Amino acid sequence: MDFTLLQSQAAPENMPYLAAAFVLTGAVLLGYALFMAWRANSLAREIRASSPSTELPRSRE
Amino acid sequence: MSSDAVTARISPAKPLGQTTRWLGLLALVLTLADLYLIFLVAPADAVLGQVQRIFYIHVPMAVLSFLAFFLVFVGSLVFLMRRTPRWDRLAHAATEIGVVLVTLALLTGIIWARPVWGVWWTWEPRLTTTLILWLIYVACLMVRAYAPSRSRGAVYAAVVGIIGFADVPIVYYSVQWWRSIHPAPVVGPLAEAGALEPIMLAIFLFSLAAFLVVFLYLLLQRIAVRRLEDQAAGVRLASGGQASPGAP
Repeated sequence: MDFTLLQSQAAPENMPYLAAAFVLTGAVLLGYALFMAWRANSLAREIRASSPSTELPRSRE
Repeated sequence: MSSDAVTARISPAKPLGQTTRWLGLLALVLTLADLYLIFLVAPADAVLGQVQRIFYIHVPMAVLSFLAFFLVFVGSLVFLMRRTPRWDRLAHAATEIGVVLVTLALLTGIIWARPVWGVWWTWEPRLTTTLILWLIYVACLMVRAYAPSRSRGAVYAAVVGIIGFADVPIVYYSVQWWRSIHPAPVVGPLAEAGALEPIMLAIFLFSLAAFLVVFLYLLLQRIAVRRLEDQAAGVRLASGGQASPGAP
């Protein structure tokens, strides 16, 4: 790549593309992290409900 | 895999470990700092203008998808040799996060291409080989999900993960091997010295570091979730209930 500096010139017609790329990336990464956090809590709740003891049967290794 | 149940060392009350939660906080702080640098410090490009700022997220996601697929390769190889679930968990988590990252790299590239190239998509070598990479690792997730048992799914996914990694160097070198309109890499052996202005390079490296922390957080989080999925499947089997789809 050969990017060069320019402080003053902006291309306002390109701003929707810039916004779309950042909003999409943020939404997907945040959504994925939140979904995984919810899934972790949901699974932990299911395991707690199935095992009254604090020691859980671990994965089948 | 044997069916021995081993006592858990993690607390069900805190399914994500302390390290993972601190890493999540660090990822959030670094992401906010990265956005500040990208939008308020980085100068606009002389030719491409403001839209060139997509570069600071597009390239790190592409680079980290390569790292994810390298972890899939290593995890799958060791899993096939030792058959220990921890390596399968690593391969599974890295596959999923690699697919998320390469999807975003493709989509941000498509969004960037429209104002710069005048088209959303063109069948040029870098884009085509990246799409093939995406298809390979989506297939890797599909063979795991649709296999008759979890253990067979893990083996099938490991085979696809190992063979599929051959496409990663093809994607990287595609701009050199074939005529391409995609810019040459800014990191790795093909990167030209001085291809980026120093300020742009510094912000790019910060962005790469920030995305690396986000990547590590998502990876540890996904491994923890996969471990809980295995535990839940074990609990369901132990209680005589219905095992989850794909359970052995």
